[in-house]
Amino acid sequence: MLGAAKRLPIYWKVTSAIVATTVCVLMGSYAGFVMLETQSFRQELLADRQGFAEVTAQNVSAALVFDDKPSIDRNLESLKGVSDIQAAYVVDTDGNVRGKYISTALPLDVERTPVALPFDRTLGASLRGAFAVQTPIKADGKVIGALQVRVSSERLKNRIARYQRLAVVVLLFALAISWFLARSVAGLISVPIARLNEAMTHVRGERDYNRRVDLDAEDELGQLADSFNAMLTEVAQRDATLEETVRERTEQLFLSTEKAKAASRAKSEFLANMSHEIRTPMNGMLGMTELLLQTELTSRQRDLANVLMSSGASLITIINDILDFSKIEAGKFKLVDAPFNLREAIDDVVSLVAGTTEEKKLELVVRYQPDLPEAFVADGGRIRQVITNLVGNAVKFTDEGSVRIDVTGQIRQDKARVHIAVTDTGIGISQDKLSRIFEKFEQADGSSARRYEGTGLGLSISRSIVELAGGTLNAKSVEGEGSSFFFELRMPVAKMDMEINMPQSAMEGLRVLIIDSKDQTRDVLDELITSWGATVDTAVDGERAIKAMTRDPRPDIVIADFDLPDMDGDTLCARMREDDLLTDKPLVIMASPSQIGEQLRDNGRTAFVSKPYRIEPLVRAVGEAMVSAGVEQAQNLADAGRLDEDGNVTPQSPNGTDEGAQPEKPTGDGVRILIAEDNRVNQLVVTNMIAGLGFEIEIAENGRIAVEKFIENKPDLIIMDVSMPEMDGLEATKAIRAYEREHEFGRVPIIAATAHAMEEDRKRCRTAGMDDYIAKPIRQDAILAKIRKWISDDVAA
Amino acid sequence: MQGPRSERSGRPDGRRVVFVTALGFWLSLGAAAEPERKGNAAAVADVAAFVRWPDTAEYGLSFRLCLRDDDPAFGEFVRERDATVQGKPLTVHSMQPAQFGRMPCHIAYFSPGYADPVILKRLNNQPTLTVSPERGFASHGGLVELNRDGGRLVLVMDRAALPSHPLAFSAQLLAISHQAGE
Repeated sequence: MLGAAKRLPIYWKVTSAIVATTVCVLMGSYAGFVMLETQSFRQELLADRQGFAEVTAQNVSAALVFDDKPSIDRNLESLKGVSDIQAAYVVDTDGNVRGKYISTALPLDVERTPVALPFDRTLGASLRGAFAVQTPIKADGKVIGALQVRVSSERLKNRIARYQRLAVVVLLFALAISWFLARSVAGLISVPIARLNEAMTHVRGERDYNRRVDLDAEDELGQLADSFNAMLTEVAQRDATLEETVRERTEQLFLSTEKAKAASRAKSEFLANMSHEIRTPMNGMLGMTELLLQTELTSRQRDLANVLMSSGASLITIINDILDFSKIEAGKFKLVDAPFNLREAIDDVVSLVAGTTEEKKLELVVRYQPDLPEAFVADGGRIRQVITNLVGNAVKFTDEGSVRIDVTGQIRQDKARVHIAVTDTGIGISQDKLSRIFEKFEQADGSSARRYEGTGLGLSISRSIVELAGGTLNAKSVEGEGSSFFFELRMPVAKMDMEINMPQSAMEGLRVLIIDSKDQTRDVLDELITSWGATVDTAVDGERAIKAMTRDPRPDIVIADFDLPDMDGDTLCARMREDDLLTDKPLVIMASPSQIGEQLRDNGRTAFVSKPYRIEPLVRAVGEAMVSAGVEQAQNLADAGRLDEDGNVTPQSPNGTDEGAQPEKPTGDGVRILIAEDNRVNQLVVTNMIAGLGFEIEIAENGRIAVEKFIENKPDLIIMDVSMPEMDGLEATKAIRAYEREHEFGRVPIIAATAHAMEEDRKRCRTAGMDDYIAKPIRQDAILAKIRKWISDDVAA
Repeated sequence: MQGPRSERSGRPDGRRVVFVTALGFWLSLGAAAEPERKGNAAAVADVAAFVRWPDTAEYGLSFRLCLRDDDPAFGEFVRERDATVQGKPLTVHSMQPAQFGRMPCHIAYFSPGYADPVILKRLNNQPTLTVSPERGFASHGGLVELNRDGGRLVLVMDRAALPSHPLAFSAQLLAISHQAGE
């Protein structure tokens, strides 16, 4: 109702208000008049009839005193001429009716008796369709009775009915008058408003600020129109100024944008060029150093070459960080989801820092929740990059104690919520720096005399990666006690079989003794081996372990740390082999690479696992121990496809290859490889890396020559640099592919080897027709892996 | 004009009180049973209510009703002493016949047989309302004759004599009265 009233035009609002007001006032006045008139008429009627009653009462007083009923009746009969009086009664003080007069006008349904009223005064009472008027009858000043007359209210009713009929006429008249008034007044208000509204709508719709409203009024509406016109004038003037300003600003903005774009392009080009220009000599430096390390060197020469190699690797890491940071800043950093093995990624990180932890004598512990799947769908490379950064930082900033990696999570409907935490007992971070630690160029040790190197980009990049993956990287730390960096990701569980862990319950019924003095490592191993189904006993030193081994129930397999408090791994092994009861007991020793002795490698009952242990070598070693011990549970491994025909344990790996073994070098007998590379040093690097494997190597100094040699010699594989004079690698590849199509020549694998390390570069290479990509600086194992892959694929094809 | 000797000579106050009480009891019973059947004393008071006395008839603070000292109705009227007539307390006075006309009286009541024509004549032009239940009283110079028609009281008056009388009679009274001699 209120909403409808709000939507009503002003014209109708004013009209309705005036009509309603006028009608209400008129009808109210008329009602008041009628009420007063009716009341007055009633009072007059009653006063008049009361006069008759009083006269009659006086006349009958003597008759009443002397009980002269005929006289009473005679007097009452005189009321017959009064039309309104329907009945009259003379009542004595005892209430006895001493005389009465009943008119023929009295309705039959009315009782022929007076109503009870006090005698001592004249008063009236309303009855149904009548009034009762009673006046006392006095004699000598004393009340001796009363005369009550019943006066019909018919006349009053008739008068009210007449007034009601008249009310309809008055109402119609009021409506007509008010309608006329309302139309006139509403027109005075609404017409100017309508014109103003129409003008405003026109101005708003057409943006026509030259429109004006001409109102012939000097009241508020006239002032409103004047103000509106003035406002339009101001708006028009301001628009004119604003348009000019906007045009100027737009031009400035355009120029600024162009400059910014140009700067951005220049920056990207600079980064690409810088990356390329640095990688090219780095390729030569690292490649040559790697080759140098494969030659006979003195100890000092090898140390120097190793420093050269590690410095180069650090420089590459810095360059990669800068490139990543640049991409993040430009908003071009994207994640590529694919199935990957998280456990293997963590083991890879462990391998990377193993040397450093050994040097610093740190305990590196990996606790991977046993029931958590290993394979997920995410950007495994980037997640590994984050973990590498966190673990690298932890190792870098920890001088003693431990670095621990905890991977836990829950599975819900094929999706995992994986929580990864890296905790160390290092220098820690003060609270004021903790809040800034993820900002770019920030470091925990930001002093000028800092002990720790680094660009300060790693954590910033890691946080960006985690956020892009839908998580949040956080940290908590106590200065001087250590830090913990952790993040949580939601990742789909990969459907494919990528598990490298021991099959569940494979060791059901076996008893394993774990000997390790380090609580964390021992507990993690305990949990891991228990999850494989074995019953685990633990010991903290060698003597206690040997005693435990000679008591029933004896362990089926022993897993021991090399660095026990009371003896080393060699001594433990010797003590076991000397004991008849333990001589055949399989022993798995976890030792640093430098501690693994050659004389024990050939001992079939003793296996060595590098520590910090990786899951895959540990599974293999324990599996081999099971086979060696001849336990029936070895069949579980065979059932799970973990044993080959020769009874060797072959843990599954994502690539279907044995990652624990040294990569097999491809045999290149008769395989012709064309290397398109303009840089002389890089020619030497690549050539030397693949030399001696039987390949027939040919060099092309630029793309044009590469195309010519391809046509001429039909090589089996091409390693193509991208940036080359005369014709770059992309053009050359296109030409080769075109030639292949024209001459129905089989597709030759082309591997891009370029210092252009950006993602866009990789795409450009694939678009041009290249099959694979390897970034400079090229590592020998990487280039050999690529060659092996494409040669074998080619052979298979 | 006959009446009990004892009332004329006056009886001791104790016996008189008993008589008046008994009379009052009888009257009250009668009034309760038939309210219209009033005694003559009450009827006289009622008649007085419709008569207006001239200003010359101001005899002090009371309304004086006179009876002959030998009138037997004295006791009945004594009971009416507490009544109020014309706004004044009714006082009942017993006097010798010779005193009528000499002593002020608003009303002179005569029981049947006690209306002496001499007395009536003496009172004829005086502002004294003469009342008697004696038959023919109005025809013989009395102003109001109280007749009984069954139980109902009927007033008989000589209307012709009234206009010249010092007392003024209300129209209502005249309207319900009967003409003497009819």
